[in-house]
Amino acid sequence: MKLFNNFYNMKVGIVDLSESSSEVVPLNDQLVAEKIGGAAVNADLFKRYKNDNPLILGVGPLTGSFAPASCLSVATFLSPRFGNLCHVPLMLRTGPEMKFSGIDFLVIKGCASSPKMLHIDKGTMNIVSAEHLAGIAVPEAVQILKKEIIQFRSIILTGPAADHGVLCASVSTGMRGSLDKAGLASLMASKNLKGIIFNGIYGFPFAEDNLKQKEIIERNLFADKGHENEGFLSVLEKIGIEDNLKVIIKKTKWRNMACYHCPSPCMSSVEFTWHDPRKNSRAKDNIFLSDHMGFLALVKKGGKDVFPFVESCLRSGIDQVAAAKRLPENGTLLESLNAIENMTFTPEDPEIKSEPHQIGEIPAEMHKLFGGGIPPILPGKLWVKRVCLSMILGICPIFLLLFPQISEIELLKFLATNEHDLKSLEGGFASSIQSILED
Amino acid sequence: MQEQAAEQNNIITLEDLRPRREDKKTFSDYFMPRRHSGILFDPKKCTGCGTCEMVCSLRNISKIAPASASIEVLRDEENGKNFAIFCQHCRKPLCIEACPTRAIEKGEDGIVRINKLFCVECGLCTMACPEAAPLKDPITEEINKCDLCEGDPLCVKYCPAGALTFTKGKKIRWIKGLRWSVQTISFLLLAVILVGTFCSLKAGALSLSCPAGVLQNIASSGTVVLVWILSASLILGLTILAGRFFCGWICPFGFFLDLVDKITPKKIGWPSFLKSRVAKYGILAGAVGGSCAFGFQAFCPVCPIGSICRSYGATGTLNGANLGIVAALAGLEVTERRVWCRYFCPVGALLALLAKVGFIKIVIGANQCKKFSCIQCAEVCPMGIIDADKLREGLSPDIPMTECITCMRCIDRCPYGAAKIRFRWQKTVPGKIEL
Repeated sequence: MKLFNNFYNMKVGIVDLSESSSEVVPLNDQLVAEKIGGAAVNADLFKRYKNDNPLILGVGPLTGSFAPASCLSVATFLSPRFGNLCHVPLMLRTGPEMKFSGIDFLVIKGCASSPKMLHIDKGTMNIVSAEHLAGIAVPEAVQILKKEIIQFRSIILTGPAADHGVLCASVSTGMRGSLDKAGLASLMASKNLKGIIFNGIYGFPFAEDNLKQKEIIERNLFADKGHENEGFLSVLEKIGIEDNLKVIIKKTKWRNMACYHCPSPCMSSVEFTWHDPRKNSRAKDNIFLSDHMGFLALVKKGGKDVFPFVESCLRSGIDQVAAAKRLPENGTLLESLNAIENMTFTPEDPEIKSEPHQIGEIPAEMHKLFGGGIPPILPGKLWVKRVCLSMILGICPIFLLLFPQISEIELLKFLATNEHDLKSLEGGFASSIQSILED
Repeated sequence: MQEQAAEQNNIITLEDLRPRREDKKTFSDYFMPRRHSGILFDPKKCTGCGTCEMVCSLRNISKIAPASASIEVLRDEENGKNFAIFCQHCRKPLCIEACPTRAIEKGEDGIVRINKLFCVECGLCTMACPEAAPLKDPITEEINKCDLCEGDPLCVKYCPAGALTFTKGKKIRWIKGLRWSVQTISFLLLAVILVGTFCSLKAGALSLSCPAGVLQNIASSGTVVLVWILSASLILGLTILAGRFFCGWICPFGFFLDLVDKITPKKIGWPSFLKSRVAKYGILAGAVGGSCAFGFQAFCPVCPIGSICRSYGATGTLNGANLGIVAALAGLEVTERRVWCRYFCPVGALLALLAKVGFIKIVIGANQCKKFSCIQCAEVCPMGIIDADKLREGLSPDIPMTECITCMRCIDRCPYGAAKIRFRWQKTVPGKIEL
């Protein structure tokens, strides 16, 4: 089916870090016709390159399109933390920038001899040295890269925790963290891959007609209540946060932030002031909150000190849920910050596999399959179906969980308009979901 | 040689090909200025989703390519703030001056457009623009600049957070209307109906006088009469309450200067060595000292406010001598707006001393001022006290209430609601304008 050719560059990038080589091969028509895209295609590519312990990055057909919250790219790999194949959602602008840079799927295999950075621009891939970034905190590393690279648009990057072999390291999209709790950062570090830069200046010629479908969906969504109940806090409320903790975090200055083309922001930027015990001075800082599960775990442990903890985790590139588990009970702020710092420099035994943080009715294996960071906004089976839908089409899973009223058909209408194509898409979609869950 | 000279004379210049369009004002423009269309951006609402870039690029190059949009969202990851860069369609666009091929023009509708036929993609417009709003397309190398989608901007239409709004300019500037009405009524009252009453009016128990005149009276007579002070207290009290409100709203000579300013829009500039705002205090001191020395009100005979109030005599005749003073000082308007008020007026100087300890202040709010290239407040200020360079640097300017005539033009004009009137003791946020 050539239906998807209008939604992909039809290019797969294959990078061999051991050989320092890269090539671009055409994306198989048949593969996207069967699997549609995103995690399903990633899983298929993973099978093909299984022996190289690959990291697969891929986008969905709707990634970067007019579909609301079309921000998603999916990283598929064998989780060093959980030991299973998992699909980690990468949000913000990573997906669209990847598609706009001319590559739909990326297979990264092998291991570099020294820290490297992968730079994807105008459909080409360059492997460049990243030795100067090793051990540097995430915000500083991003600043360095912004100065070095003129057209700097999007990046996924590992922090010092991954550099030191910490399994619960978490990859960061820019300075803003991610939902990676499956050890994507750790896998990248094991491949000596410090980060991947996407310069999507080319764009993609999506059909303008899709704007109408976007308008229909958004009109239905916001007709009654408008854009209320948005932001990071609203998601926390949906997954259960105690009122006393809500009061603590409401005192700070919040500003809602959204991923690419998302009409309902679920992230926030927070400005907070605190007394830094290490410098013995008052500090005013700003952090970006994107990991709902991580924040919930930290706020339960740290109360009003949650913001310095989140900042520390973001700087080091550590999974916030794992950090919360390591915080000392009734410890002082200094002790807790030191605990996170120690965690950054203490390598873990890769043989010891951990279980993902579990809240709600979502089965543990499903949490593990999708990286352990997607908040359980909906109950069990519905959660799984909506997350699969998002992971295949390239739409933010949190958005689809927040708005269950957006039907599968409404989203598939972005891909096809006539009845026949829609029918075949529905069928293909069901088998595509099945292939993800079976793997 | 003669042929060469003839050839030289026949050289076609850029002026022949692309004559610079004169911004011709029609008669109605002086009284009902054309609306200023534009997009307003609220950084507090912007979530950084980039939908604006997306739809803009679709219009520019028929595909989704945020890098090719005419609007750019800057995402400050460290400070968690977003800021949109786009053309403000300035009143006096610097890009037009900078363009070597005159490819940029401001249309009758106020929209600044790039004519791609003439653009050589040199990027000088980007350098000249305070916002760097003309953006170079990384694919086509062309310069993209917002043209407001010819009146229906897509970015505004699709912004999910409502951070962008389209304005055709304020339909009714109520402060402007009110001020002109008050000024007109005051002028008619003081200069035509109750001729000469500004200097001194006595109606039964009510006694009103010009405060500078009273000061000279005291100096010349050497006595302090309580009634004189009370008669000046209306204007003095008003000044303590509302700053130099008299100068901006009531003064008949000020109103006359505002009218003259309307018909002399081009300014040749006041000599910089004469730009001392202290001079008016010297004239006030001179008037008081002169009155003391000569035994009569030394300044009142040449006072332009008094002259304009006395120029239309009680018998309906015009007083030539007084009109001469008024006309001579009005002639200074070709240099700067309200030159007399800025540098010389002793009445203004006396009120300025009181305004310094008055109840109110004008602030350009650091949190609300959003566009550095807007500077409309600085452009409309008749006293020239709003520092445009500071605004361009992103700093909140200090507004000296001694010089401010509380005309509120800045408040009326500001599209972002950043210019405000506040009590002196109210906290405001000075310093850096927040992105």
